[in-house]
Amino acid sequence: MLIDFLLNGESIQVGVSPDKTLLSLLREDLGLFGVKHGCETGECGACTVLLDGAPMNACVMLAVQVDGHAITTIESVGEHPDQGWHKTEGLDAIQAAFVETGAIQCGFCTPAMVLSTRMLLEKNPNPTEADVRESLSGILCRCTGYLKPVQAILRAAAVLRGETVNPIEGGEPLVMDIFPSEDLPRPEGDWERGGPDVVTRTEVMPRIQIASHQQPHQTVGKPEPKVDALKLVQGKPAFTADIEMRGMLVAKVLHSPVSHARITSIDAEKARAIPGVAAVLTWEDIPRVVYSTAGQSDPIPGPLDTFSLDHKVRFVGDRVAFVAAETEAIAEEAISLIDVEYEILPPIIDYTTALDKDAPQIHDEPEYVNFAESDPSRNLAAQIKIDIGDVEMGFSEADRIFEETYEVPKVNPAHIEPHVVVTYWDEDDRLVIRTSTQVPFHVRRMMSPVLDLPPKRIRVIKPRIGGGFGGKQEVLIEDVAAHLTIATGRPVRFEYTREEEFIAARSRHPMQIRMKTGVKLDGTITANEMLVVSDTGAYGCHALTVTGNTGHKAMALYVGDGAYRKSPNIRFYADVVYSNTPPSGAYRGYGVPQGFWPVERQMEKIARELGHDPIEFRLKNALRAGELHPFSSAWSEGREPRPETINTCGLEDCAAQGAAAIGWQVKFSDDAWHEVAGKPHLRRGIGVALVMQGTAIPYLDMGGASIKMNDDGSFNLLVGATDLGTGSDTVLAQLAAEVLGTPVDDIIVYSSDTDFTPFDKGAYASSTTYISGAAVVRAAEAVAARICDRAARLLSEEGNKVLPADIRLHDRAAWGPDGRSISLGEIALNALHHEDQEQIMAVGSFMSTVAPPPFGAQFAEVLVDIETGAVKVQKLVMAVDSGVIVNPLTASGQIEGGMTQALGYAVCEEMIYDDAGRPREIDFTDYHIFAAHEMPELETIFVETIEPSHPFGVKAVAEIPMDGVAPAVGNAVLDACGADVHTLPVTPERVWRALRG
Amino acid sequence: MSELKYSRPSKMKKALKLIETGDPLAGGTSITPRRGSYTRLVDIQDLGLDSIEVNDEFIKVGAGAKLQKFLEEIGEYSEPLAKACRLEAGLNIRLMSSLGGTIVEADGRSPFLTALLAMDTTVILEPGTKNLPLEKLLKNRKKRIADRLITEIVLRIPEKMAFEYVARSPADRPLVCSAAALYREGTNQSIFISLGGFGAVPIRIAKSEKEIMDRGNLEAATRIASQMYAEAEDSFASGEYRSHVSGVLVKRVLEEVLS
Repeated sequence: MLIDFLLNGESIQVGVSPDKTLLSLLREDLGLFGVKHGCETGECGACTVLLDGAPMNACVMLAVQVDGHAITTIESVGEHPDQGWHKTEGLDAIQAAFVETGAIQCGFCTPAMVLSTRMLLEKNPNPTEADVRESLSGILCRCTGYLKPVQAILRAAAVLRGETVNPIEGGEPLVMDIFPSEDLPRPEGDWERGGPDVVTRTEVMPRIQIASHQQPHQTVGKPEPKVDALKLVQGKPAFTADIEMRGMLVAKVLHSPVSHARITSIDAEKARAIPGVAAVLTWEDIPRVVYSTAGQSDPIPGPLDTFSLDHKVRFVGDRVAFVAAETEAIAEEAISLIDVEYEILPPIIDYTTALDKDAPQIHDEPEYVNFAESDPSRNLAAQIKIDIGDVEMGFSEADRIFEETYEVPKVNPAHIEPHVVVTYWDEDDRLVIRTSTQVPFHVRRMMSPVLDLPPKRIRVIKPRIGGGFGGKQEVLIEDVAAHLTIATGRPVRFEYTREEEFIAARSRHPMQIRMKTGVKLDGTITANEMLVVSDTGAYGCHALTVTGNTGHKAMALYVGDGAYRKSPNIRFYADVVYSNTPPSGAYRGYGVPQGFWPVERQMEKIARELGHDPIEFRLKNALRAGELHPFSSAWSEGREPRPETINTCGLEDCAAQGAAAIGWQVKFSDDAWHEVAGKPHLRRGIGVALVMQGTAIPYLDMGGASIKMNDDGSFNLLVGATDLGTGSDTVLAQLAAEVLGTPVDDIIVYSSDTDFTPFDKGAYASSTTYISGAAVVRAAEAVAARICDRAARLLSEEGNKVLPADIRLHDRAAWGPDGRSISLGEIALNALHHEDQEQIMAVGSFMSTVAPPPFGAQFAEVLVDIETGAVKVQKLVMAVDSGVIVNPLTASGQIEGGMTQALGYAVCEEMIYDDAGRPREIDFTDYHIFAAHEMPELETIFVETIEPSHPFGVKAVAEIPMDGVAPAVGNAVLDACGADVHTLPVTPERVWRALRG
Repeated sequence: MSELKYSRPSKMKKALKLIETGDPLAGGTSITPRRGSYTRLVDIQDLGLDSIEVNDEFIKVGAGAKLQKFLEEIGEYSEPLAKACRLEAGLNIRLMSSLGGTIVEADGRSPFLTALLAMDTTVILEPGTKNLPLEKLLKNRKKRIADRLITEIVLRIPEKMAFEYVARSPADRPLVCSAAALYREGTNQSIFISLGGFGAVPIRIAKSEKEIMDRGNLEAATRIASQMYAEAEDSFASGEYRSHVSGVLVKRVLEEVLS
């Protein structure tokens, strides 16, 4: 039927079928890709448009409903100010504020936030923070923690009111060399208006305890706007699905409705007969190639136990068949017409029973390829046994032994952009895989045998990514589209629904963890033991390495004191077992959050039991600079371990800074503070956790970069590294700009394309700034050397002789010691056109022999209702030593977003299955992630150290905020009311039961 | 594939005729994801069912009025009702979802439906201009709305109202929630108490109301509430927990409205 409506101010008439959603009309028919797909049930708000000026979700609105109305999308809001001879008004004030404040990470939800803000500020030019948070309540963001978007909106409101706002760009970080004063009284908040007692600082820069730099920097350490911010804030078609191709088919997958079964027959003839169906593939139609979906370097440190399609299904959601059709509706109808007969097998849903003698065997396929101790006959995907020192002797030397069992749940990365891939044959008959991945080079290598194509005939393009958090360190769906393109010869798009993200993607490993700790009465830890049963689900992707890191990081932090420092006694044993639930995999933190829940709960209870201050007890036993990383000589992700000494550790300062920021000394020992006047059922509590992570995998992770100088003195920086929204492209550009003496604006970053960019192992293990950043620095230094050679020659021709070593690059020019200079543009023209012509260009790569850990102290303040067990987290503070901070805005954004994800892990996120393996969570209603209007106050403090193994002294920042929030919350609940909860998440019922004893 | 039919009548008579073979479509937030299971949708946006009228006794709301408009207009009359409405969904969905649609679609975890139940709410259905107490409609919702259109919802404004909930996070769906509303007509006083957080629909606890009104027995009223949720068990919470918390919350809302 025909509908008429105003679209971005223009009257249009289009024909639509009544079942077409507005989202489908805008994206697929009208090419407005600024409207994003994040779910199909209206919960995420990524598809926000303005309908008659009000923000509404296009995924849950039929296109026919907008007949006679006005629709506004991000495409009409603002644009680049300079389009050649056409000058525009540029970005609007809201967009500009989002760019300036660092409010954009992956940018997938940014158009929705900008549009929603439009309505807010039109109705209310002077909103409170509560108003702002309420205006964002319909839009989920998994990256930012909402703090910077809220600050951006308050800033935009001020600008639109005509007020002067403080500059951000080029401003100095809020330097804090001494500890801050104790937590100031919190202004009264608007509790009931959805923006509770949160205080948004007007300063968007985090506080930084600055290390004494060896030399001042030009761009490193500055809050540079993200290099991709401009396109993201305009909603440009930058993501994988934002592409139109003639003849592109839509793919769908038939998922298994049962958790464990053999497919005894499968009949796809009715599906194939439907007009518009281009291909239906079952296990009978494609090669049977065993592989692992874990996006890791070669050789994959885990079993090969997966097939694109198999005649056995191992979880509800496992693959049964692929369909490619002209439309989504046809593909779905075809899926419904595939007849499958299953021979039902007994499942393993409770993973703690997987090793039982009578347990069914999940992997009985003859093609299974073992790795290390994996044993499919026992449902064992991996096994780890690490003994450091003499643990039994350590226990015998202890005055007290503490033992407890803890549990952590399966949780979902919940990136707002689902997994999505587009595949097609190019004109050279090479298969192009355009995919939202953290690991483009691993995709190429790993897809090669599965598709029976050599890597050289595969090209992987990674556009912008709408969040990944480890979930896209999986080669998860690329094969589906690729098989269908091979079968049909046509382009194919395959995009997960939100339900598929829950039933058929990867998740954090659930674990049951037994802790045993020996301690002397003076608080010296003599031995520490962790025994883990970890659930890898139906397939063993990341089984060994995730669980290994549970011990490698969490059990490394506390070595003991005195003689135990040199010879700690630590045991870490883990059985990683198969079950008939969706596979676990990589998720931000990579096993370490699972480890710090038991370790930090254990430390808290020991300190309290022995009467020690919880922070002092921890610091007494914690790893220090100059000491050996205890696990470094015991385990290294399935490869040869090599000893590593900790070069830098700012843990003590982190603890002191964080304690001061949250007011630890005042609150912890003050009984009156724990009470709430007039509300005897409420108790306040405060908790702490110390944490460490790693920075890349030593002797393995490698990143490459190339830099090419252009005619105007700008540079193309090509990296294989993948920016998931973290801001890594910006940070890499800052490192290059620093070396080349040029503004970040002159560094044109491109990432990543396996045909054009150098290899990079991808975005994981908190490695990009450290590994890829060092590669960029090496490439930049090589380019700088060529520039200095030429500059010295040019300057010498016009005056005194100048040596290349005496040239300094800054302010877009090469400067001689006598103050004469020549611009980079002149040098480039000279090199490319005038004399001794050459392309000034270099490639750099970097592999580290160490994995310097970042350290942090995390604090939580909670309010507990002791009658119901309800917990309200009121404040989270993290003080973190991530080495030198290259960009305070992007780095603090990582901490804020990480703390927010970790908050969900602490109190509400979990994936539950019934006895048949059917999932409870299939959408964002039941799987609740935090929204803007329910957030606690967040505070980030950086405690800089200078890591000597990196040219700019950086360490990792991305994953460590995931580690300590949950135990800090658990410890705060204990502090508030004595409830000792051992199982995450800390739900009201668990607290209530713990209070009942 | 059977093709979905869509109509947008501007006359009630026509709409009611179409609904005989179709289903009403208001905001569409619940129907759109399940659109494949409908054959005809009758869009009510042109029927003028979005008015909100407030007098001394009642709030009369057109069934097509959106939750956000309702929130903005009634917030000053009842903050507890506004709180429950805000908790129902984020801003975008509140701007789309209608009151009528919420009454038809919401489940037992709905804080807003729980609050409406405590407000002596009446639903007007066409054809026949049938006035039906919300409690009665919810007891057999599917049958009572079949071939009918909710046109208006009438809420009785209480002298005092309270709403409390427990959830995993401040904006999560409640594990348990309760609302109470106190009405006074001359010397006559009445209380409505509702309980939500579980099952297909929230429930009204008439026995607790009676204990309070007849005997002023708060302990008995909360005990009855606990009993009502004694078997309210699902994967989110046990019956034992819900039973305990329902007693706590009912006690709190009663203490609030009786204070």
